Amino acid sequence: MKEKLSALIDGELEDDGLHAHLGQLRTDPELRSAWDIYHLIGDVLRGQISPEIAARVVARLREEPTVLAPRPEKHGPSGRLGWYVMSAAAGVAAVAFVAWTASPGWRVESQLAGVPAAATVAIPAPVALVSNVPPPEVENYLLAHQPYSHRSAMQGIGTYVRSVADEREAARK
Amino acid sequence: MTLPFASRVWQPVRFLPFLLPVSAAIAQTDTSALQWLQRIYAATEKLSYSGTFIYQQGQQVETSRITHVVEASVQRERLETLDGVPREIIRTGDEVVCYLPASQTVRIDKQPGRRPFPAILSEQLKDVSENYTIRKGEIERVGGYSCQVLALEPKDRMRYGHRLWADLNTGMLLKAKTFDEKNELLEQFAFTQLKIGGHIGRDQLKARYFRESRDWRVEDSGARRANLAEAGWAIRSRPAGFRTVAELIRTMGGTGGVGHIVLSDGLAAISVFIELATSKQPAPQPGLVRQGATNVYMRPVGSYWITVVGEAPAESVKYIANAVEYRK
Repeated sequence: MKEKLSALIDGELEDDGLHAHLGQLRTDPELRSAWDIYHLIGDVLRGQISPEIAARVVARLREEPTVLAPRPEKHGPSGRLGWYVMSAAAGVAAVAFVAWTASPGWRVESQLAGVPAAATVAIPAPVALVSNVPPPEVENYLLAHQPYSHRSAMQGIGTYVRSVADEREAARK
Repeated sequence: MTLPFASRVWQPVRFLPFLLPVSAAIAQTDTSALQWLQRIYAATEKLSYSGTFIYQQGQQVETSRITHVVEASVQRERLETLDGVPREIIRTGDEVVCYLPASQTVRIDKQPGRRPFPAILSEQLKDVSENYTIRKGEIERVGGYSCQVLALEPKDRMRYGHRLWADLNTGMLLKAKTFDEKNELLEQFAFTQLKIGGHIGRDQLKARYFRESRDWRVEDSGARRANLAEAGWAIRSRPAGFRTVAELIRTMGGTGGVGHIVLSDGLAAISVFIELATSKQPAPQPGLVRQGATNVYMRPVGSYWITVVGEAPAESVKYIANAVEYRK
């Protein structure tokens, strides 16, 4: 199976195999973890991730994550691998953060307009608002939210253009 | 009570009985304006079209091409951005695939089947008429089509105002503007060129990045219905008129087990995402970001991160984020 994954990544599978494979990738978490790791390795080899970042990613991988809460789900070896890949991706995203805050599309709000009397829930004073929601994450939330946007019901897929707006920034890096 | 029901093109009679108990709301809202809103929703589900539209927020304007085909009641859509880096989005029924060549990523999102159209629509229109005053405006031209203008004014400042332009013949939405509480434009969509109906070749729906993307990173997302209240999560209060319309457990950008609650006032939707803080490294800082009419607010609750995303004012998004609690 993994050799086939390799062939898939190298673009050696023809259309039929490709379909079968993408299907399997989407249902098999272990295969997915392997897929993500192969890509991460590929990115490093191709120099798409700078050695400095790669080193930082490795350093982070060495640190045992602080467990803040009892995990509600069982994490087998593949789950743990998945987490490592996530943290590596987050490391890369953190570097992208600087470029992102300079993006004209997203505005970090420094203050809120007056809260109406109806809002009886205590709203804490705004923290120093340097949000570091990295762009890929914002896109993920937007993508997950889009089908429920009233506009999707009114104008179909058109609203999705919002959820990929930050991709322009990715291209500049 | 008589309502101007008759129409040859669509049949509002089945959907409108809910109007009877909300006569207070109706006193302000023109019922024929509400019917126009219903026509817009119906047109989206039924029409095939192909055209070019602009999306503007702040100083940014972006042009995209869209093709929408309804085949055996399955909707197929393709959107391609024409400015800057190409981005392509393909929807087939409930599955959405985003091809993002700049980051060599394919994002796949599959939602559980949406509820049957008329059922969701009647509830939605009832909510809209309770939270907004809907008025018919002038007839204006957009992209060569004569359009009915509709104004949706919010009844309080916990939601935005909207102006909609719908084609007189088909009901299709050709232009939409969203305004904040100071009546300043937040964002707009508008078709500049459009062909409704007629033959649309299958090649216009083909993903151009399909072959090229096979060595790209795949980020798979999906969702299933869930009972998050049972798991201990609650939104203890909410802005007037917003009610829960969906509760899901989803996978998002490679992270599984993310709780997702959707609230709606019939027009504006607000999503609440709940995930373990350990899946977010480095830990994000609480705060608010905005793009056009969309606000995103993050805050920690115990060992979890709450992210609220919505096309609603910052106050509403923050209000909901601050009302999320864990009771177990």
